[in-house]
Amino acid sequence: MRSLSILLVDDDKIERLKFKKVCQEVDFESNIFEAKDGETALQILKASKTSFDLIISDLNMPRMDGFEFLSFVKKNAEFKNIPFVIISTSNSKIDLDRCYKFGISGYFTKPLKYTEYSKRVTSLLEYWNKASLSARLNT
Amino acid sequence: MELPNLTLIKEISGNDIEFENSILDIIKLEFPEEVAIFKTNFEQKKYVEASNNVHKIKHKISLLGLKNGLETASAFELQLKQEKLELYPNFIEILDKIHVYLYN
Repeated sequence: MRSLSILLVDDDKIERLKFKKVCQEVDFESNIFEAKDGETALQILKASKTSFDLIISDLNMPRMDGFEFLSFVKKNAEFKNIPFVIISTSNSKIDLDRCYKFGISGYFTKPLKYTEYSKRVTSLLEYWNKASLSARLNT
Repeated sequence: MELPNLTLIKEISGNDIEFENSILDIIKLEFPEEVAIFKTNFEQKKYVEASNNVHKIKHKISLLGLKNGLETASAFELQLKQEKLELYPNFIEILDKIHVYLYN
């Protein structure tokens, strides 16, 4: 299985730990870059020589929230094609619509049960791994 | 009466004690800081900021298994955005309960 380069943006350290734990459990060799807000994520995007396969971001964060970060990424020619998935506690339709208007590739609300969370993250990783492989084969 | 517990953290951790301790260490480290920021914002009547602080704290309330506490915190988070303060004492009660659980 090829490893995915993921930019994980969440101000909650425990959420980042949980995500990395799922990656370990399903033996998914992900190269995860972590940021605790949109501003730091932008700095990583701009400075990194890595070509990211996936951005996973929370919405409610200090300094630069997920909406601002998403807006920047989708308006930037260099980064706009990186699949951007929101993982948030917000189940507000307004938030969801706003994100889809920016062109996100997925949105899921964080479930309380870890088993459910783990299933969803695993599906997400498997899907984007396949998509990323296909994209590389077609270029 | 609902009390903080480790049920959810144990579920997340599986049998991984190291992971369980990592989560608890983060909670113990961040909880007092987050509460202090919330109280400062609340006292200065910065209710939107305080609401964002509640949003962050409520994740810890949820991790410590306080289902009713989580509902109260979610309602209070919304109330603060409208500058309503009725649930403040209930929220403080939850915070105090967690403080006693974590540090005594």
